[in-house]
Amino acid sequence: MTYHIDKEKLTAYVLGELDEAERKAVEKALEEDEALRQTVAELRATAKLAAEALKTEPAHALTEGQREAITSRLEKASEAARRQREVPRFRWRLHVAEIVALAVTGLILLSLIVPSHVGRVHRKMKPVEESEEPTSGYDVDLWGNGIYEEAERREKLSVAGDGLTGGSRDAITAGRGGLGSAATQADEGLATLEVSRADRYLIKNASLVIETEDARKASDLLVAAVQELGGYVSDFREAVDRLGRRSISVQVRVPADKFQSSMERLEPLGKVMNRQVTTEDVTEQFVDTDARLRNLKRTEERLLAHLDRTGELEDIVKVEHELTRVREQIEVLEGRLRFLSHRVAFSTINISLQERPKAESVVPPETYSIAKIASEATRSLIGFFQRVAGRIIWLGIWSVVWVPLLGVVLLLVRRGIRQARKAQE
Amino acid sequence: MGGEPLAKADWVRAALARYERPLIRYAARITGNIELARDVVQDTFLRLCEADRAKVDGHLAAWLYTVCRNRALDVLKKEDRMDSLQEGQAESVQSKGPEPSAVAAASEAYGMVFEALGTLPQNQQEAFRLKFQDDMTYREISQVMGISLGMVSRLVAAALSDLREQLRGKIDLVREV
Repeated sequence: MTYHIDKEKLTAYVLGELDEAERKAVEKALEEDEALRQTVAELRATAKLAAEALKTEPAHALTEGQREAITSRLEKASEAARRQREVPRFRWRLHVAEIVALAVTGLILLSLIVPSHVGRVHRKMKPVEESEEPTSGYDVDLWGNGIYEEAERREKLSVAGDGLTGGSRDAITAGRGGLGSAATQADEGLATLEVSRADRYLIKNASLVIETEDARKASDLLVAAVQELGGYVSDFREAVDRLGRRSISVQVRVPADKFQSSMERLEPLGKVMNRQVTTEDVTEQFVDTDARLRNLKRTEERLLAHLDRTGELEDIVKVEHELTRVREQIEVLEGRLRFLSHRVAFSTINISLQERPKAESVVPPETYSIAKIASEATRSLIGFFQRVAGRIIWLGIWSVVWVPLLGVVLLLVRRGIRQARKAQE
Repeated sequence: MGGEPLAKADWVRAALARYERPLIRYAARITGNIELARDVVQDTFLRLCEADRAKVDGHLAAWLYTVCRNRALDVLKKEDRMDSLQEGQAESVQSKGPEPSAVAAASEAYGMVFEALGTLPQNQQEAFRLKFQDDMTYREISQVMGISLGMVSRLVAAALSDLREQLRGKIDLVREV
């Protein structure tokens, strides 16, 4: 057998680095080759000597400082590893705490942000008789047609104030100051208005939309109540729609001092769906007209005195002519004053009595329309998206408040958990 | 709690006790400077502290020597003394390691071994030392030096037979041993 054995293979053999087959092949070759056996013996001896020699070579150790550095790193690494293993136990708690914190913060923010918007909607939905006091220039519309904004209310109150003159205006100024500072508190403003009513001329108007079972019966009760209070009916209209629902519109005039009690008597006639009360201040017109009237009367007196003194026909004709003109004006002004007085003395209330839809005609076949339902649904959907978008815009803009707030909350929660973990350790 | 990290600390300490000195000796041969070698070995063990035990276990020696070698070569590169380690400049190495004469005093034969070893090329010396000084297998040496198994075999064989040739005339090898 010719098995080529080089020094590499022999070395590997000596050092035990050959696999089984190779080792056997080399051993077989060695049996046949004396020189090869000698080489192996020498190689083995050299290897042994070299290993012994090299093992005697001095080897240095690390310095103490270096050992300490390794030990302290080891402790840190162990600590880190332990912490890493322990974190998962806390992680879910951390997540739960984060979600809770998020939810709480979200609720707080929603309650902070939304009331100004949604609260109004709620008010709109509430039956009026339970929640609203009669207020001047304040409109509550249950049909969702929108309500008067506070700004508008304020405007009306301001108009009322502007209508005053002289001392009256001074008297009101204080009231308007009060309004200005608490403009949103319309009821307060109204109270101020009430206080200064004594020297003012106010025309009160109200309109009521009342839903009732039987419009005719309600209108009879209404007329009786108005007459009992010393008022009268100034207009009466009755109509029936396609669904057989009767609606009656009545305009009544009641003495101004009975206005409040009239409203109280009228409202129980049914469910108040809409109520509007406005107050018009005519003090300035009243005072102006009165002053002009007095001036004209003085002019009339002077003209009469002049007529007594003069003897010339031409003068008499001129004076008579002038006197006629002045008296005409006096009559116009007196008429105006009487009209105003009456308007002030008698408040106007427009009542619309509407019958509830009859049970059998809730959804009359002719009014059922898939297109209408679809359009309503679409409108509702669009409304929903608009509300969502609105909410998102609110949240986005308010993020300057809630993002830092949330950050602080999360930070506190994390710190709390870390401390709890430390305490546990 | 802490069963595994404690075990790891013990593991690193055991590795330190077992390999600290051999590694410094190995690093010193590369850097030619005992302080640099210490720094390199400290760094090697610091890395072991951070290492994932599962990835190191089973070939700890190879891992330590590999990291140590790479660190040492990095340090050398920084020191701009890479040139002195190029193959074929074996002579320069003799002045680096521990003083052979100090060892030789113990045995004349050992002195001859060191003398003969000093004449070999650097990579032969390195492979040879890893084999006989650090008791590594060819496979481990190939991992540490980043060369093939065949290359390790050639380097070790060349070194051993060269040594044998050199020592042959001076001492009766077989009888001596």
